[in-house]
Amino acid sequence: MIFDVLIPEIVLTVVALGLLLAAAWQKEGQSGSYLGYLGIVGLLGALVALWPAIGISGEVFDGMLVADELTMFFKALLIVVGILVFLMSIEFVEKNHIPAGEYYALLLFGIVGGMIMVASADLLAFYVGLELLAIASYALTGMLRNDHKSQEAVLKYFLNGALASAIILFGISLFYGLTGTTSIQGLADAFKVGVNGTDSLVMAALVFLMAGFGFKIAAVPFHLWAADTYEGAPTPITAFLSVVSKGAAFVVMMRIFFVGLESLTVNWSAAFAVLAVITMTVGNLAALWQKNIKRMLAYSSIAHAGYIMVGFAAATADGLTGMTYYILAYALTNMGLFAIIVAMSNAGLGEDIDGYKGLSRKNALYAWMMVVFFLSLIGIPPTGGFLGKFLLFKASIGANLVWLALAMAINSAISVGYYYGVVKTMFLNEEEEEEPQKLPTTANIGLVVWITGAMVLVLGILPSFFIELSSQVAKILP
Amino acid sequence: MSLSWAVFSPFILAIFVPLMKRYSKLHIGWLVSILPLALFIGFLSYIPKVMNGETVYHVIEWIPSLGINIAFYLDGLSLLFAMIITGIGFFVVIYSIGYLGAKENLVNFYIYILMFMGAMLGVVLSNNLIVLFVFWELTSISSFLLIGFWYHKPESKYGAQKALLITVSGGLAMLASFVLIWVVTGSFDIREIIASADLIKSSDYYLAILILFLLGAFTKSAQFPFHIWLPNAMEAPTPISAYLHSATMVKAGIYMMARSSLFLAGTPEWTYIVSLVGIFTMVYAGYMALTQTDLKAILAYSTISQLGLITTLLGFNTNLAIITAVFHLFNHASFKGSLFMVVGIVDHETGTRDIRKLGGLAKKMPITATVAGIGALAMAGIPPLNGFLSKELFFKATVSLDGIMAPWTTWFFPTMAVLGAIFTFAYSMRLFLKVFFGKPQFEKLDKKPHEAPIGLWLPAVILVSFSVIFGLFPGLIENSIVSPAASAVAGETLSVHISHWHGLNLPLLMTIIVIGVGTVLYINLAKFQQLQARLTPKISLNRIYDWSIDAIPKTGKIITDRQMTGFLRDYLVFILGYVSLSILATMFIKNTWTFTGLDLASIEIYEVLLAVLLVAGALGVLFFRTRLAAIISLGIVGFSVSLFFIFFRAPDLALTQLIVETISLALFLLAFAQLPDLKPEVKKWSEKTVNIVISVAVGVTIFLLILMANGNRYYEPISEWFIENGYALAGGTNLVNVILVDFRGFDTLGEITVLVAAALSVYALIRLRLEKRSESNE
Amino acid sequence: MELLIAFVIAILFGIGTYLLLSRSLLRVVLGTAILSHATHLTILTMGRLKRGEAPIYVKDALLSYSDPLPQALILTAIVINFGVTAFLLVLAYRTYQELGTADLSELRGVSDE
Repeated sequence: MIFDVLIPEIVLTVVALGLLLAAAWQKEGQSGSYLGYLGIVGLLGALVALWPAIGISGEVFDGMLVADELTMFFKALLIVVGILVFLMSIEFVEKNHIPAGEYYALLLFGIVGGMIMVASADLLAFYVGLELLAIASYALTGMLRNDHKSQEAVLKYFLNGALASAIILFGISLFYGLTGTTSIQGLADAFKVGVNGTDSLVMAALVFLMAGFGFKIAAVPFHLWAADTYEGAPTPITAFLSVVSKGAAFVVMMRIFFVGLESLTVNWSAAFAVLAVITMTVGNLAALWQKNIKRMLAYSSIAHAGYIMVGFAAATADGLTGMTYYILAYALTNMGLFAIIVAMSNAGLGEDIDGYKGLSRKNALYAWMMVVFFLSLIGIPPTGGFLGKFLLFKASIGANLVWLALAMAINSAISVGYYYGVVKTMFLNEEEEEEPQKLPTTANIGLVVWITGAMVLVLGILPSFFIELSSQVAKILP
Repeated sequence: MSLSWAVFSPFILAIFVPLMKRYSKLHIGWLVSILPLALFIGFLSYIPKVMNGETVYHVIEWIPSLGINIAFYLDGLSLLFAMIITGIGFFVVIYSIGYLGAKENLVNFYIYILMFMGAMLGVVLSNNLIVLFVFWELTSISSFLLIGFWYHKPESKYGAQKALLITVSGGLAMLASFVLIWVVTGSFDIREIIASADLIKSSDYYLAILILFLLGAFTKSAQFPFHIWLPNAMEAPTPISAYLHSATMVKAGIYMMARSSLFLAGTPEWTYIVSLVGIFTMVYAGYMALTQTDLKAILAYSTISQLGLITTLLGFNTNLAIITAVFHLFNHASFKGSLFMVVGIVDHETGTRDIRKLGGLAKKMPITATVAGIGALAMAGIPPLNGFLSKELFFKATVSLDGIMAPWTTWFFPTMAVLGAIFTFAYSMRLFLKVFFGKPQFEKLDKKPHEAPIGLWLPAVILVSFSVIFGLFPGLIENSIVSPAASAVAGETLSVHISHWHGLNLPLLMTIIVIGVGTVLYINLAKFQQLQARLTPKISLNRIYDWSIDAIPKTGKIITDRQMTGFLRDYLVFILGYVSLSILATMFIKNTWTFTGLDLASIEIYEVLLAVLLVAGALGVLFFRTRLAAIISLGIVGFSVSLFFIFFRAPDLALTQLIVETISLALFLLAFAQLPDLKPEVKKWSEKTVNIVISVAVGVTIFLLILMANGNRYYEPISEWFIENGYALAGGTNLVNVILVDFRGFDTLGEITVLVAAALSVYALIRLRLEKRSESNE
Repeated sequence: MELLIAFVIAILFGIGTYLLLSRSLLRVVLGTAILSHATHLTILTMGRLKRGEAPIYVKDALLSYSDPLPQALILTAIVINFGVTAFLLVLAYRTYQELGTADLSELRGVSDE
């Protein structure tokens, strides 16, 4: 039954609408936390609902959606990340008087959008998913009241995003004009049969597509919105943007480029190689200067987009596996990091790196976990980030791109600079001997930190199972 | 004792260190020291096996799909290193008990040192390159933590960071070479790689592999020009300097070169690069050691110089050279370790390490002075100590290069070797004589010097006694340790015979020159140092390092400030400019202006009129200065578009567009009423020009693209299929509707969801605003 | 006809871009509206103009129809765009209320950098 494939999305949409209804009955002054827990139950339900679709593979809905290993893997990841975002949001929403019903419902819509994106077999379905995710993200970014940064962030994000959507749409219509189809497999067939791949029109369509996607994944030179938006958005939403929006875009790119535009590999892989190096370098260099931790992580996430793009530059099955594993490790690492930042912000310690002074004595768990997450982001064993980087490293050298691998290595070394700065601040022994105010670990955020921390280490120490899963994804290759 | 237990036990013990601190009144060092001793004895028990040429192999599956398994392998070379690591480790831990008082953060210290021990054992026992790399970087990290142990001192932080940056970067280069080796041989397994050594040496990647590999080895083993981190690393507590930065970690690079000699060495590239870098490092660092005033800095440069000596030998890669390298490695560990401990004692007892303030300590600290004397003489290469034996062999290796390297090397290497040895002799004498027999100047010291407690000098005495014992009786280790290790490097069984007397030959002559000239140099050291001060160039490597550490973030700031202006407009200009530029550039470069085969539809006069109206509406939006007029113009554009839809046989679109346009206009009117009126814009003409250029570029790009798309259609649109089957399958006549509802029903479903999300977003934003207003009213 | 429409689309894109780059929030909003019209027209043009009858199937009549697929695509785009426009209008309204300005050059809340 083809609907099996769509049950998780349906569950989430229904839960989202249910949350709205529940919120309408909410009494004045009543806490909205239970809405968040309801949402988590819904997400868990969706995770279970993925079960019937295991093993189903092929296109459904007349080739609009596809079910395969790639879809399955990332749908599951999206839901898990969704649960983590919900967990870290509950106290934050409460503290900042964010309308809970709308907030959680929009988050669920955003996740559904991401799930449609990763499952789309047709550029139109992808576009719908993209817009769903984008609109939800815009609104969520502007959810902080009395915060000018948030307001400005959403405006910049929206206008840049709308332009990017238009650019993608334009690219889609050019491909349609050339091949007469919007199906990703159809594109592949058309290019195999007759379309001249070196045609400048094809190149132009490619440029449009890459530019639009470049915005979504915050690759240089389309990254400019990222820092302002990440800084201004509510912190759990920053986590959401850096993982869900970015991850879903990467997955769609995998399918479009590796499957649909396979015949044009020579063209796009070279372009990705150049973009990757520029992106990681600019991201890392800019991050060195940041005093606000969210801004720093915004640039770090730009740099990571650069690393992930190495998989496209390699354009091999190894590259695909590497990207998948990297995205998995990166998603969990970032979730953990942002959970701690949310905890800090809930405790009123702000977002400036200076505010992390002496964290090791205020909450040793958070401080040490942050070290683990930073190690993972730099790519130092025994963390998942190391294996992710190693897989990409291996893929790029395997594709004769030794220079790209070295650029990655140098960039990793540069990135030590700013992560180390935060660690130094956290473990700084202040001169005054008085015992600092303890920062208690709260249940929800503690849970996120434990889960992600454990997973990041598992991905680094016992990775076999997940590497196997990631390499399954490469089955989408023709 | 299984090998994996040996590697992992230090990590396991490290976990329990905090508990020891809590429950034991004893200094933790006593408890920790049991492990290296046990491991040392364990490794000792492998000697008979290894002497027989047997090896031990132990594997745990880790990531089999990638060919990465935790495989440990023990042969003569690994055993030699493992014994140095655990043996010196034991003495250093004992020594640290006296050296670090109870006030220090002992928990961290012993955790780091155990972490290092495990990592270092991992490096020398791993048979898988990736696992080896993991341990390799772990040694860098633990070294970083230990150098920065006194992290409140800025010098410690600086030194720690410098060491980390240089060694980790080198490690990453080495990882690249490992992956390249994998590309060539398909394996990360060192045994398998050795089996396909010819493949590597004949591959196109050989040079890249070699250079990347050596970058890792040279940075770790402090070879020129990457040696600059080691002197700064001396900020670490002295036991650490003795252990990591003299006896073990810095020799990891040496180990890697020795380990790889079976699949990388033997080519001219290897021979020349490695031996030249090595000999230059040896001479240069020896020369630098003469100028230093800090005792530990002297030892640091001395270590660099000695590592250069071993590197040179590995570069030669002859059987003699390999034996000598292994032998000297062993000797260096014993005399340099004891010298570091001596310096630690002097520092501990006098409060300074400045050689200018020290003198005449021999009377106050006779035991320490004896150890220092033996250590220094061994380092200087005076018979009958072990340093003499290995130096003699080194000279012999340099004079037997005939036929192995180019003719000029037969005089070049012996000359340089003698020069390096002269420096070594001079600084060894300076270290020993000045500190212990120089003019006493106790008034300059903070503390009144006296002999150190037994806990400090005993480890030093034991270590230095090896120099004497193995100097007198080299036969004790010839076959048990040196031969198996050298055989493992050479890949064939080498029989070793080390003797004191080789007859009157060239190496002996060289030793005599060294002692003679060295003595002259030592006597005239003051004059020589003046000369050195004049010769020192202004631009030092350290300055280049400091400059680049500064320059990287500065460049980052410049780049960031350029683009991250914070202005939305700048962002949009950037994106649009980039996209249109790259498309126009592609078109020009490819030069494919295919407008041929334009398939144009007929044109009617009313269509022209509509087009004019549409453009006029758009221009109105552009030029009108009141909100209402602008909105009405926008309406004209919208309605003209829907008329076009009718002309283009798209009635459904026209209908939808009409409805949507009407509602949109109402929304525009509503929203704009709340917004300030359009003001004439004050703009700089430069800004305006940029805007116009970008707009025109976008327009032109789009125009060209549409025309080209019209002339380039390769495929029958799949729409034909819908036309043919729409009625038959779905039973509807309106094909657009059929597509939307039947064939592309999912699309419509998604579309509705998008609308719901949009409506929700709008609602949320308005509610936020309203709530705020009601709050402020209260 | 294609030449004419290409020309019109190009002008719309030019004007839309120019408005998008201006400092006034209102003009930026107007610019996005014009750009979306232009995009819709482009998609339609990609599917060829005025070939055959409107895609309403007449039974048993061998007619050729204009390409229905781009029309479906545009229909989706129009509807989505409507939602986006509504959101943008509210966003503009809220921005003005919160920040007290509709001049984008005054929006530069980046403190560090």
